[in-house]
Amino acid sequence: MTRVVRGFGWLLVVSGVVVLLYVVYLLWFTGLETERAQRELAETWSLTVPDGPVAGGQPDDPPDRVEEDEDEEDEEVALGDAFAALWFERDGERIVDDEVLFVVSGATLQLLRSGPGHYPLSDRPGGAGNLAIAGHRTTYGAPFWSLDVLTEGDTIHVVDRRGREWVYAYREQRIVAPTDVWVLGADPLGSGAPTITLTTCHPRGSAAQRLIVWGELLGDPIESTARGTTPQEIAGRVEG
Amino acid sequence: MSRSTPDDDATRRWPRWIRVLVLLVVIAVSVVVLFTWVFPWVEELTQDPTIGSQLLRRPR
Repeated sequence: MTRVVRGFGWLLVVSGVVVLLYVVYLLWFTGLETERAQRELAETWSLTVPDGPVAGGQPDDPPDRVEEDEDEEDEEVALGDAFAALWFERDGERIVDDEVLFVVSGATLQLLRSGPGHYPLSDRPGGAGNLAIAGHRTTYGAPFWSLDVLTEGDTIHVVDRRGREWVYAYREQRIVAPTDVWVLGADPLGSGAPTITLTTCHPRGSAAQRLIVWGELLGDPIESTARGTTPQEIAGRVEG
Repeated sequence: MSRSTPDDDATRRWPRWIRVLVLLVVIAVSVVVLFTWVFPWVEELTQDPTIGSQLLRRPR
């Protein structure tokens, strides 16, 4: 009997240590994994995307003056590759994250280890529909840790793979259930304007709810490439 | 009633190499189970920032 109790005690001690190590790994070491992935994405980005806004701050060609190239517009970005670059500004200063965040194509948990991820069936940057991006609130570099600080007047900047910078004005944020797929629909705000939707965990450290941030495109949109006709279809592709 | 002595316990024990082998197997299986199912499940439960993925896991 004593041996059983002693064995159970050791089992609890070992389990506690394993859980503790896992929490330490999640909170601190996953960030290193994301940092390395973001560095790699930055390298491939610099090789494939024309020089411009990420390095220089302002686009060389404003969106409405760029000539359309249908072949390039229809380009499929492989899952896990750099899809776009993203940052947030308030009065010209970066907020939410000091660094430019490289968005990967795809939004599985595996892909989100590299950084924010683009929902595959949602629109492209500057598209006439809804560009939807998910990002971790905690762990894996916590790119959207401070997403809730966005307020009226802030802007969300997205650079596409052709180097064009698209600016979205912050409009609204809301706490929703993880199953509220309507937020990924073509026009979630009902305004008819091209939209960006950012999703992350809420509260921090829990996935019980989701924090949703919306912005609307400033400037002229380009033709939409969104392939999901309903929010459910978009959600159905989340798992890649 | 006779009580067992430490010597009796020792004679009933498995050989040391078997006990070490069992311990190693238990540790290996635990690590595989933790990293294959438990940790991904915990991560999904606490770190999933996407919308709608829970619908896919829920039976219709």
